[in-house]
Amino acid sequence: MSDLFRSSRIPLILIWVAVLIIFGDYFFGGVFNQAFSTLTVEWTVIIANIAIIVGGISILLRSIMVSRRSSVDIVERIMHGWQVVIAVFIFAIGTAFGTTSGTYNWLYTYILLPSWRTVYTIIIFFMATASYRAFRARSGPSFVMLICGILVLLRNAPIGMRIWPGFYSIGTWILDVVNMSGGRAIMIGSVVGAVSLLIRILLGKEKILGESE
Amino acid sequence: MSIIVEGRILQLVFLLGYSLLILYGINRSVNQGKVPNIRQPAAIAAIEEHVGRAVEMGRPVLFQTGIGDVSSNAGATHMAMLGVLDYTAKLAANKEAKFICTTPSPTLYPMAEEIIRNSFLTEGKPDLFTDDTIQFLSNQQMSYCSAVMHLMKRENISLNIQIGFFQAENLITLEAAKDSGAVNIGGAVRTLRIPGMAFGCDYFLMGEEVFAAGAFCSRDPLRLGSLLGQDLCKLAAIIVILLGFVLVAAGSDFLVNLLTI
Repeated sequence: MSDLFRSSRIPLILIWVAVLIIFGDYFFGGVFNQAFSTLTVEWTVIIANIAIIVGGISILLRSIMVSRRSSVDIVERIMHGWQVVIAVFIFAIGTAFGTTSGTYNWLYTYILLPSWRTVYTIIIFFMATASYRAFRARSGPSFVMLICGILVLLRNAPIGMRIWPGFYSIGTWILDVVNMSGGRAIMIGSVVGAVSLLIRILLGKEKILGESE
Repeated sequence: MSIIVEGRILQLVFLLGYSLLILYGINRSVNQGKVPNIRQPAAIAAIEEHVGRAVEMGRPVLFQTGIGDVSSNAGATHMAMLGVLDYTAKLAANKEAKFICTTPSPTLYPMAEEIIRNSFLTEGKPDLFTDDTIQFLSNQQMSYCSAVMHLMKRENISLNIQIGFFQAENLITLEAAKDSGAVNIGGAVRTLRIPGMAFGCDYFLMGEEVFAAGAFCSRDPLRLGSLLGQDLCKLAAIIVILLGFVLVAAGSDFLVNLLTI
């Protein structure tokens, strides 16, 4: 029995059922009972939420273990311990008063949100400098890409039109002809790749299904 | 009343046609023994080479799973990423390299954890799997970025692999890895992220190569056969595009109208 649950058969059957229901609804919507596909999508959300609970518990257990490990740096131990305290505290507030309560909203608006915004602001400066450092002409294709990037930048920036109005036409041509045709080729390839991956999953030959090899 | 929803008839024809071509490729490879000789992308070959380099240098390998949930529209990309994660974890376990996987997604966390644990077990090195092997850092994009940048510096990583679904954090983490002296191996499906990957990575997979990465890693005849099928599908798409080009140039809307049925 346990072998049956550990094998890839059950997930594979579930995948087949879900694929047939979703495809059936998409292509044969008129004659297909839409309730099936709605139910499948609802269950996807439910299972994803269960995965969040499993993930949350794993993360909490790991933080507790790290905070108790003597070989770890003291600052990191305190950080992990503090993380556990905060998580349990917010979970308790959310459970006791509800996620729409004033207390929970206060915690979200005045503690979590400012913290995220602060981190975001600090990182965004790094992003600007990272772009500057990363965009180097290290090879022929990257040189062409860099030139195209500069031309599109000058098309979009107001100063570009002031320098030379021709930047608009060149930038538009790069976006509408070169960029779009290349992008569509990649998109067609990606869709074919996704179909191929789906077939390999349906045949049980992708590693994500457990003991498939 | 039509059985098939109006406007989706040709979509179904294309889907079935593509599926048949891929199944033909698989059948040719598995049942007829004509396994296609497909060139392995440099990024896949580089994973093995640089995991070995990490062992020699005594520095860890970092694998990032990408952002977003498995239930989102990035699900297919995440599935492809898990194939590469399995391959890299097995290589790291086999060569006894220190392996760290970070994720900003609570839904990917248990899946990645199970895959890495199984890979280590398959290679006979379950003791190498520790609490630090897989780490959830934050589901907030920029908080994740700052945490992973700190981890890169602290652990002094030698290889950073980020193949999958990434957003604005992509370029930041690539640059931070480069600052740590690490080699970057990346892969992106979204056209919006491909330029960033191209600039920031030493080796990278583009578009469909990400979906085919699992096949490249395993060298399994079935998976390689599916790649032959993919090439046939692309050939069919090119023929339709050329046909459309000729017909539209000749003033005919036949194909344009046909595609909308």
